Amino acid sequence: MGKMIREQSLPGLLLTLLCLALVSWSAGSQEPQQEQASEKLASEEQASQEQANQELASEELVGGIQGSTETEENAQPAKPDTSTWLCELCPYNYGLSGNILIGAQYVSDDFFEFGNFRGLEDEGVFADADVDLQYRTEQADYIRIYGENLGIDSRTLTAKGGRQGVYGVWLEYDEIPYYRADDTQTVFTGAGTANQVLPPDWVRADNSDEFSALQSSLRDVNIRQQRQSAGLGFAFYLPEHWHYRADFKRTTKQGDRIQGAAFIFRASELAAPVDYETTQINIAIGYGRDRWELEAGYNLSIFDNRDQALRFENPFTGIFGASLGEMAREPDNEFHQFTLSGSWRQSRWLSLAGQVAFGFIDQDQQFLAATVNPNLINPDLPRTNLDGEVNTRAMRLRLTSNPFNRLTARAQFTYDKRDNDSPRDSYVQVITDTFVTDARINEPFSHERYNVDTSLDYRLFSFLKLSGSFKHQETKRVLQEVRNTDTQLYSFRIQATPFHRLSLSVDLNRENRDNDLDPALLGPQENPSLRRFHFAEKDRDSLRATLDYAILDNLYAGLYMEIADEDYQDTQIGLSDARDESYGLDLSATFGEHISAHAFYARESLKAVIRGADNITGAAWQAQTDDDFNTLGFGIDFIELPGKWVRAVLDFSYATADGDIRIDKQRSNSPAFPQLETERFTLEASLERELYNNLNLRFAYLVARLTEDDFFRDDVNPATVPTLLSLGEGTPDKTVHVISATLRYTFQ
Amino acid sequence: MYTCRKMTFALTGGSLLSLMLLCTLVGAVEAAAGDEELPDYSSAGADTCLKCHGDDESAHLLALFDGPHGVIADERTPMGASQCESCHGPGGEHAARVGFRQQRPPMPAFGPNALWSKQRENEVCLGCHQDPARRFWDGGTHQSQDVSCVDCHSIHTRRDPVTVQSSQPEVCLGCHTRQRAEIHRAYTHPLRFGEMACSDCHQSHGSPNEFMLESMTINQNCYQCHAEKRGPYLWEHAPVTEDCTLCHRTHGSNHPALLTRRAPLLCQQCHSRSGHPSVGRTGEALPDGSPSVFLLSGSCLNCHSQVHGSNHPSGAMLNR
Repeated sequence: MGKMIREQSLPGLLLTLLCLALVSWSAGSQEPQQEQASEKLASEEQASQEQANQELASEELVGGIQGSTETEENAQPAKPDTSTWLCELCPYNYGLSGNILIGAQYVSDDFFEFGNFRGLEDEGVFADADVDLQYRTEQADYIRIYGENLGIDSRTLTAKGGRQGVYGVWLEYDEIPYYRADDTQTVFTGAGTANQVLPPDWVRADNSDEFSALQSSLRDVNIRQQRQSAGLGFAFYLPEHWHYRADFKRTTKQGDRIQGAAFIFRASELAAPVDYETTQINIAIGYGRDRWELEAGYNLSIFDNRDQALRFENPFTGIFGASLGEMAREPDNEFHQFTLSGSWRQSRWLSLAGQVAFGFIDQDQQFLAATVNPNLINPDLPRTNLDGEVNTRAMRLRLTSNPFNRLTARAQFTYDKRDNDSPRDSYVQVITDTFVTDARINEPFSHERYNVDTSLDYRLFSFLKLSGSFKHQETKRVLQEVRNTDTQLYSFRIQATPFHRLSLSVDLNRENRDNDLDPALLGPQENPSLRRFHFAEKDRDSLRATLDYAILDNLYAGLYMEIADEDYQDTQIGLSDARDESYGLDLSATFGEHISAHAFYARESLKAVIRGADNITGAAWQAQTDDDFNTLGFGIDFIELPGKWVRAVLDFSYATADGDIRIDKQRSNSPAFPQLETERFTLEASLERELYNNLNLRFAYLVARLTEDDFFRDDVNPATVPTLLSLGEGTPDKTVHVISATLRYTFQ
Repeated sequence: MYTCRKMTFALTGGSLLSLMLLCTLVGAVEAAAGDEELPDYSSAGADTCLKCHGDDESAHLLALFDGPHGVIADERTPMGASQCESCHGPGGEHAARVGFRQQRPPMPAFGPNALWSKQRENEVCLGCHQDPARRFWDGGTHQSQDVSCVDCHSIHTRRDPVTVQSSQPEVCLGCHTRQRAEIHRAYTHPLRFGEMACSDCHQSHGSPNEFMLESMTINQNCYQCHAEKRGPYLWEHAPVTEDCTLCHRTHGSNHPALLTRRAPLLCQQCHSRSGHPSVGRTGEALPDGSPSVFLLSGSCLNCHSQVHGSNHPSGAMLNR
């Protein structure tokens, strides 16, 4: 595959790059006057421009027309003498400004799923506090403090300070709660920890409906996690073209999650512990001049799992005395990556940007024993840890040329490699701590991917732009039945503005993927007709059309449509067809400076066909999945109201999804699955009124409803499935109201 | 067929490259548009502007002076340079007296009936904002689709909403309407709740990576927050190492864990009979029939719960 790239794509690409460079040079030489004028202007303003151009900080970098290479081509008026521009009318605001908001909010019910990501899962009264403060001096020193939801578990707080354009430091703290279920129950003592044991009076049985001590042993366990991140960083913008930045972030995630734990044909659902810590450090040093910049960076990510094993007892009568099992938790790992990035903008005719990255992942977590079943011979391990190492390589190169106003050409090459260099050894398998079986050799998967992407945008008329692109992708894999896939993507786009109120765009795409499948590598255990969808041969056609229309000067409408059709022509077992359709309508309106409104509706349908067979000679079956989504919303925002009412906001959203799964099976007339349904709506309203000069009172109301029908979980109690002791997670069906009253104090 | 496709690719790719070359050459022959004479600057800079735009009706514009662009002590800012005309262009003509029934000429950039194109307005911003984050702006998706800096950024404000985590999605989703619908689904990342920003994953100023991602690969992007999935595991699950989105729909799904579809069908897309028969489960396996561990609760994951990989010596079947 790499050979093919070299033989077919790269010469063409390199030739094009070379020609673009020549054209760029020649175009420049054809316009000596402009270039001279540009150079003259550039020399006049070099000092200020270079300083402005090489300094960064997206938030803080500012400047203006002087720095624009485009405008250098145009005749310039005499540069004004700004020393006489006193800006006496400018309302600079030094000192403290901003506001703090503090009050209380009442939640009407316990509703765990409503609290997910919000942090309002319990009934009761909670603090409602936000802060948005800024302190500035005439010398451009500043401190900014911004925080939201400070009274609840979804709080965010950021503090930034420094001297604008010279240096900046920042601190940040963030919490994200993830609440999944509070109706779950377990019999295990130590639920949510790394050691889960059965109650002393537990009586094992072959099936869950025979557990005599089940009801007396069940206790509530919530499935929830809390993510907390704390970070700090700094950046220096020095006048000698250099910049430095570094940031550090530590994130912890603690709680539990649902995890299956099996003993051959029996399984239990556990509240497995989650106790992770991730440390990230990013450092970069850069140098920039007027037309080019270069940056070297280092990224470090260290993952530390406080639990290396999860040990659990078998509630079922274990085969071969398998009464205890142990699972490995996610291993500690480290990722190091070095990057070198840069860009060169010779002129508008030619710009070049690129990035290369070298990285490696290390993992040397100590192995657990092959089994914890004392009745079995514990096989020797070939090593005490994996000593795993994955090398990553990546390269990005983009060349863009805008040889004249109507035309933009782009060529891009990308390369990615994940090279898993971990040692391969033979490990005797003890299946679910129950019996010893043959040895297996581990398979460290690696892959390598090339992309070559070329595109042209041509503005045929002022109201019509045509774009065409071609992309070629090749992926090489090891240890899989498909070694090479080869994908071509052809795209064509029309963008039109037939009159100033209307703009249209249509995108057409065609994708073909081939592979070099060797069915023999599927292995004797798989159905030889299986084609795995992520590298199966595929044709994909897609169409996207959008329309934006200004119905009135203050009323806008937008429509979009997307259709994608996938055909896996060689697949008899596996995903064989997929079709996505999506349609949407948007309306937005403004009424004067102070009132804005919006509304939207979207409909999406995701269909797929999966073919299978119970066994090679077993009954063939075909599954059709069909997920339909409807989403609508509207909102209105009054920024100023008559009298002392300051602001009013109303926002409503409604989303529903229906999922159908139909199995057609030969020689079978089986009952159908019920429909999967999710439905939620949220209505939020707030009203703010001025009480005194700097003090406002804000009322807010939120009502939300969430319902779900999910036959995978509904009516599945801990003992419903004879071979499964489940946590009995159900689906939500509740409405909750939140009322808040807060005071906003404004510093001016 | 494989060879045939390669030939097709060679022909098509070659044609496109040739076309690109041709257009570029044609472009070189066509001289750039002629010089355009700009009007003069105003006589007193911002003081000239604020005589008209400093009243109550223009109060929303004055928030500029609370924001990072309105810092006179920072010489790189508009207010530290040519003030309002740093961005809006020379305003002498706009500020000059106009005759009776004569229409006031517009400012060159950024305003009602502005003279300059979006591309040229962008050049004003990019003239200063040439930091590494904009390295791939040229030729990027937003640039080629004529997105203007001010389509997303508010300059006359104390705090640009697109730079705040909780308000950024509203800005992005104003155009990305399909994604707006997706984040309203039952299972999503916490964008709807202000706990995550689009820019946590995407580089809106141009990226050479798939889907304009911040990180160089999809998986690297996911590992930023889900580092526990990074491995390498002793027993890897091949698609997991390659692309998280093969199983997960990142903007939202009606299936738990943002999965593209439910197990067992999710797994049966790629697994047939290895280990045990790949039975097409029907309504018979529901609680009112013969409830099956192969269908209900976690389905395949009831046993094969280590789908992201296992580091247990006996974990080849991803159940330890």
